[in-house]
Amino acid sequence: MNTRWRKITGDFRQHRLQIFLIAAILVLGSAGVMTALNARSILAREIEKSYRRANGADIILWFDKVEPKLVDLVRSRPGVAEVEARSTAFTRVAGKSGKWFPMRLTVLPDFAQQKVNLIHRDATAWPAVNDGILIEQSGMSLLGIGENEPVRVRTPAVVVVTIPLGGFVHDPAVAPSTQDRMIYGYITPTAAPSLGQNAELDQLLVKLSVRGSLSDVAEFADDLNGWLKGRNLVPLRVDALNNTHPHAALMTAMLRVLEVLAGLAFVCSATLAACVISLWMRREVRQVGIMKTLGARSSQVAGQYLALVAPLVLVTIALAFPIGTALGRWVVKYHETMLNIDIADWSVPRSLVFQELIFALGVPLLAMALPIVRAARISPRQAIQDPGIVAPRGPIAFTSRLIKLPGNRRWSFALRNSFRRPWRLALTLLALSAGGALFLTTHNN
Amino acid sequence: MIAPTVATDDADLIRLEEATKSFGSRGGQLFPALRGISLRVAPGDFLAVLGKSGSGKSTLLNLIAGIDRPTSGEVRAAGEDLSRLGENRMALWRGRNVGVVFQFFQLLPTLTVEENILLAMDFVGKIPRVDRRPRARQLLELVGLSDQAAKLPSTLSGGQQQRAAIARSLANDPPIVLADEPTGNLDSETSAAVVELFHGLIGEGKTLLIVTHDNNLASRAHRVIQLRDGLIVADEMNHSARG
Ligand SMILES: Nc1ncnc2c1ncn2[C@@H]1O[C@H](COP(=O)(O)OP(=O)(O)OP(=O)(O)O)[C@@H](O)[C@H]1O
Ligand SMILES: [Mg+2]
Repeated sequence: MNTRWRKITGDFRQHRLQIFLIAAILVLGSAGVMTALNARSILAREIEKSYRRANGADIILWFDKVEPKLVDLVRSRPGVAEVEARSTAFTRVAGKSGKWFPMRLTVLPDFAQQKVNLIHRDATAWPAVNDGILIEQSGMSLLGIGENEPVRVRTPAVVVVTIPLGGFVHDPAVAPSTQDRMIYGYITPTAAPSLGQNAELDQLLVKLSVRGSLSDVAEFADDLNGWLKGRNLVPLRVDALNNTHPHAALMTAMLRVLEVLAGLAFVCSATLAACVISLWMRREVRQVGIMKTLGARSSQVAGQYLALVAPLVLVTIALAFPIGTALGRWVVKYHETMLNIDIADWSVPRSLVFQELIFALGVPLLAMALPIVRAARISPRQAIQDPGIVAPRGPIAFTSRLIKLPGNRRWSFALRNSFRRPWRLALTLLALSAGGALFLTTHNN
Repeated sequence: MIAPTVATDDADLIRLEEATKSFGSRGGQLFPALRGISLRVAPGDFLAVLGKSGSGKSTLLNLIAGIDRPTSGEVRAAGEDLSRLGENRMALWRGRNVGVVFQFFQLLPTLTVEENILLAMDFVGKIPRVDRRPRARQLLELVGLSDQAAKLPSTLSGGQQQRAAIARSLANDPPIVLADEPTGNLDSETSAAVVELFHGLIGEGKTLLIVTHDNNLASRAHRVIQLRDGLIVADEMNHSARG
């Protein structure tokens, strides 16, 4: 083996503690930022996709009563893709333990023939007889009732009736029951009377073939309203809908915060690594002087230390990448239930992976190369005359002279040492606070 | 009794003309460490540089080694005008032409004694790759450290480390060997061995310039220079040593 590599491996052995420290800091930082970026990219895509699956209505028209003929009439309008009549009511449902929960009850014509605001069952067929109630699966744990067991529901006349639980469904358009403390139930007009509900539907859900902005939708709704009025079919109310997941905006904001914090932690980790290197380089000055006296050029000296640091960064990436991927999935998995969405595709876009690798490789390498190159460029005379750790200069010298604690001289010494390199102090504080913030956000939602 | 050497320009291996060196102090004033040094050293010469602490001995040695640059004046050594060399070419020039030995043992701690010598050759690339290991062995034999080749510097005694450093200074077969108080940190017995070693280098055709307080070492020099306050105040041939 070449002697220059012998020195690199020898240095590695001698400084392994520092090197492991740097590696650990970098693994944490890179894994953190990868986690956040991966989670955000998967979630941003899948929230959208999952919500699309619901084929959510763009407009709701409220009437006293929706006749089948009205449904056909609106469906025939140009620009309308799908129309379905429904009604909703708010009531209460009892869990197994006897605890009552508010329930939003949706009455829809036929489970097997849904057109908009679709609810679905994974791998199971719809019940053959439409006389039971279906419940949104996120309410399962709250109710504690199994399929085909009786469910107690309060009617508008304040009578408690029982109805068989036909099964659980997934409604990707609602937030989870566990979060909203609201059970979502679905019945057909056949079962409505048994719960004291009107079998007649009073809402018209309209899906447009091309949805523009919300104002486009509002304009279309206005036109439709006018057209219906002209036919003496006056809606009680017309709503243009946002058509996004109820928590999408909140989610995006939260993921942004996570991303910013992770980015901050990453930058701090790279800076911290650079600080450790810089400290180390200060103690290497003598060796730099010796190597230069032997005829080593600055590039050779820098190469000597970069050859130690570059493989280190590669190793940290090799460790951080699987950790970041796994943690990213864990965050997504967590939000899958939090948001009541289906994640169909867990993959991270290749371009993002590529960017992450470039950043996780480039930023720490650059940050650490800086003190190395600076140390390697020191003039040989300065290097051999280096007294080791230097006394502070300028305003820092002044502030450190001001720091005089009464009594114990050791405290003054420790404090002055912290102020000798104010940048290092600031960065350490920053890193600690970013870490703390990250900890808090992950524990708060 | 100042007796400057009479030599033609071509014959000088080292030549300083009115070289000065000033250091900026904290207060912004310039402190003159060397105040106009003119010196010519012929190949094969053995110079001892004497002077009180702070007289500028190390500064002079650093200028000749290309470790530092003069504030004014000219420094030529081994055929190069050092003021014309950039940092990188200076490093390469130094590696090829000067071997430097300091007072404090300057072996790289994570390399064995032999590897310390090999590293100097690797950096400079003057010695062909295949010849490097045999040459390192040969140099260690010269300084009597053949049996210590595979040891780390920290396991060697002070005298052994200094001998290893001398062996390393010869790694790239430089014509000039500079030493700054090489025996300053050794007991009299060990330093005698080191003095002997330096003396032997003259036979190898090296030109030696040694800063020292050691009378034994100075008495072996062909020529003794006295520095005081950054000036050469005496330059004498040592006729007893020549014989
Ligand atoms: N980097 C520097 N900055 C400021 N002054 C310096 C610097 N290096 C040397 N000096 C000053 O230059 C003068 C000559 O220093 P030099 O090291 O050459 O002395 P010396 O003769 O080698 O002394 P010693 O025998 O103690 O080693 C001293 O007064 C010293 O304080
Ligand atoms: Mg000195």
